[in-house]
Amino acid sequence: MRTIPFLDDITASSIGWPAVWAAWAPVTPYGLRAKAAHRPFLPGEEEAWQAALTELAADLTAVADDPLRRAREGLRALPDVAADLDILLRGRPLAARAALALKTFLRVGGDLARDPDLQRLRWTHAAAWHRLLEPFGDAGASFSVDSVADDTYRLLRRRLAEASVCLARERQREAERWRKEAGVRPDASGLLRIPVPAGRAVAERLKAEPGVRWRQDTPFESVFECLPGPDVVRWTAEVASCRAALAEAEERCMARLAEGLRAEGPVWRRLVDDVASLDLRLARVALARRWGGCAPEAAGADGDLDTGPAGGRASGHLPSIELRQGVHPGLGERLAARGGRVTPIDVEVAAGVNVIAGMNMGGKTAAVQLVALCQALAQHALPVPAAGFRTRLFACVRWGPEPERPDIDGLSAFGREVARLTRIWHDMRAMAPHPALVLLDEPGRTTNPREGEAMAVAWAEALREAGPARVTAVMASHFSRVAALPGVAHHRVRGVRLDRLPPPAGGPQGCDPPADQPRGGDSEAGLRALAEAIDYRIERVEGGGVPEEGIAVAAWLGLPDEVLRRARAALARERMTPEGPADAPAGERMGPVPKGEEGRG
Amino acid sequence: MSVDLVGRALMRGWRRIAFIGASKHAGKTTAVNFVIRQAQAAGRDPATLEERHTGAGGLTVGLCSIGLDGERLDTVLGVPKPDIVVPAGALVASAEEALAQSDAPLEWLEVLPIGSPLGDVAIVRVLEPGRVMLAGVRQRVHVRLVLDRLTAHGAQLCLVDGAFDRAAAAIPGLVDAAVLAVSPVLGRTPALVAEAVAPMVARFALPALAGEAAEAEAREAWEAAARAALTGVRDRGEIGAWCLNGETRGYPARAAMHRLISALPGWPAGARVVYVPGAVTDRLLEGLRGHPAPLYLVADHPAHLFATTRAVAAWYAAGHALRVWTPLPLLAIAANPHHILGWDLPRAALIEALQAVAGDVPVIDACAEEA
Repeated sequence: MRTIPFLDDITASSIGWPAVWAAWAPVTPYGLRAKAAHRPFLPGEEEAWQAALTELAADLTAVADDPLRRAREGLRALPDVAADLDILLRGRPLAARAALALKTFLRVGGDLARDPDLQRLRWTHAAAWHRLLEPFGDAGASFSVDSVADDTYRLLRRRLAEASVCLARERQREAERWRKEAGVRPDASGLLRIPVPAGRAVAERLKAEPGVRWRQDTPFESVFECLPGPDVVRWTAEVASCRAALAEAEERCMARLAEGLRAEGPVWRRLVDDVASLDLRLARVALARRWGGCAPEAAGADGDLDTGPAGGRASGHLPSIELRQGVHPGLGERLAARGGRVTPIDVEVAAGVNVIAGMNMGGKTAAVQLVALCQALAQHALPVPAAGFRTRLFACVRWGPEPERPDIDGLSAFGREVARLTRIWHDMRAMAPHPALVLLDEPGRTTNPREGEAMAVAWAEALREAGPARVTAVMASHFSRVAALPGVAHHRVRGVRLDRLPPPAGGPQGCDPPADQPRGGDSEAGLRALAEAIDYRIERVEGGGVPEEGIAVAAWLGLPDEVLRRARAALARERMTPEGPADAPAGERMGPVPKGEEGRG
Repeated sequence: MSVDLVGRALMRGWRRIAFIGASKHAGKTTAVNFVIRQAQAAGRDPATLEERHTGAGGLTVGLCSIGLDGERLDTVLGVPKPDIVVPAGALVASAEEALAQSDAPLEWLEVLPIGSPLGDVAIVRVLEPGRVMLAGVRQRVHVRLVLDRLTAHGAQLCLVDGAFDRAAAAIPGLVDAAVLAVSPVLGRTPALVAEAVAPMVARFALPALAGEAAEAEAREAWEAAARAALTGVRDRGEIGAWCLNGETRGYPARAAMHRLISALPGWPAGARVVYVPGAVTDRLLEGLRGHPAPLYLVADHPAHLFATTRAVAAWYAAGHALRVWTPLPLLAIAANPHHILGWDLPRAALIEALQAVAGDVPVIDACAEEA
């Protein structure tokens, strides 16, 4: 029995899964229930997953915006008949309200089933909707027993109507008689109120009158209850008799209707499932439209995405996951709200271990989050926020270390990191032989740099040794030894183009402006300029190395010269030591040389 | 001859009428039945019995209630509550179980997303005249939805029967006008009943702050300025104070929960107009009475005025005035001479006493008059 979740809570929250999951928004209770029961596809379910992805891709093509909006409006109009259906199918009587709900379900659902734009989706059999509606007698928007009535009921309805008119006529006749005899008409309650003293003689006469019953005398009036005459009594009895007979006839009509509906129990259930499925599918399409996303693609069974480190491309690693022009929806929406725009990124994650290096603020974490998010979406057969995403099934996706949070459990940040990474390791082993996708965001950052780097290297090596069949890992790291590790795929955020930065206010780049003038990063405009100068794209690089852009950026941001000089000197001293980084800065762009850019100045 | 309430309502464009009680057992349902009978006859003189029976030719009435009702017996005294008698064609919004007790055949039109202990609220069309029970709608926001749906299904005149919270539905924007039901529960003589009703009628007659354009011209120009300045405060649901020099202050409504408004920090001593979003109570009036006169206290609408006659009189005696932000007109006062315990007040005397305090609002005897 599987007890290890595909996404655990820390992973889900770290990659922004709750908001994305909520954005997949079915509009019917059927769709919402189906969504709650929706599970990711896991290794071993490739065939079903492939079918689901194919259906998603077809839906994205088949449903245009207007039909999508119209169909979702139609779905919203569907009542929730689950409880009524349950009651009906258990053989209990059918109430009129439930009959209306079931009829509305069939009427609205039938309209959707006949919609030519939706018929392309082959989501249901239109004839079944029509057939189930037949016992209701008409296809109108309301329900009354009249529409399912038999002759007896109709006859009783007519008798009741006639008797009611006759009764009302007799009452009016009696009221008029009392007006003539007593000078007043009975009130709405059938009481004669004779004002006194003016009407005292009439009141005294009425007290002896058999047609009324004296109720009381007050200083102002004598009050009599008008006793119904024989015709009123007769018609009253007739109305009561008709009502009683009508109630019984109604019960029989409803029982007959219920029986007819009950006989189609399996079809009812299928139609409910059809609606749930359509709702989920259209919600997927709506999600893709919102993101400008696409359907993920499954890597073929013939291994067109590699599961081993040998052979293949020049790097020696074939991709396990390919992401094209992806944008994390949470990040995109946050930046859009501020008038900014996210740079779409491409990433080719190789099977085995991948290391992403790059400057701070360069988008390493966001890129890793995006890969994990797209993977989770793909395994749920949901669209991804990208122009393309190709992958395979993993048994679990794990993120670590846990993002920083207030110390509420007594563990230091380091303790939490170790505990988290250990948990991931055990989950990964428990999933064997199925592969896990492990995302590590700067492991080793919570302890001193030397030990941190040693631990980060150790994790990378351990994951590498586990083999690409067991794990695909993406690790964002600043550590140069991690970035130089052999046998792993190296990636780099392109980083800041210092030549694109405007000179900081107050003086030429690298010179201290006067103390009272703002520096490059002191203002919103300066930070915006810095953000615009960063190239957030990820690229594969040959050989590892950590780009050293921090001090240059700090200089632009206005780091005091006294500090800047010392930082540069310290870095130079470190390069002289045998343990120092092997790579040296290449002009303003530091770190390894990207593929295809060797020899560029 | 009956007062033509339906004609009066239609002439003024009032299509949604709330029925509110001056007290418990005031005769709201009796008044509702009176207006239903009038609506049946509307547009025909006289209607034939067959027409009345089928509902043909008359106005299509929409009915709902608000409050904790749904019992056939009165919750306090255990006596039977009057039924609502509806003609064929009437539209009714009520809870499923309440509708199941109707003796009229019904056409079910729509189930609304309003739950209640008696089931979901549904809208039905009455196919044969009969009795219905109104229940299930307990919140004002639901009344709005119900009225919109009744109108969408063809109701030309909507009647909202108030229940436990007797003024719950009397809110401008929700309804266009109200019928105030009055019974001897308020007093043992016509004069005592009229005396109790007078401040309620006065409440509904309160002028709006710079309300009607024509009236505003006749009033001090500052009323219009105050209204303009306090509009934003009202939109935010705050207590507002406006001074003749244009200074305007807003305070969160909760700030005055445990202290007098005049004790709020920075309360302007020169305030001329105070807008209060919630209930206007004796405590509120007493707390502000010592403010330099004249101070115009503005309630959001008439049903928010809960202060007693004594407190209101003292308020005016101190040189202050009352206004409402949005008025709600009274369509009629429905007099019910019958006391729930069995005795009656003299009908003519009661109506005469009530008419004396009602001004131009018609007073009807919903029990005795032929609709």
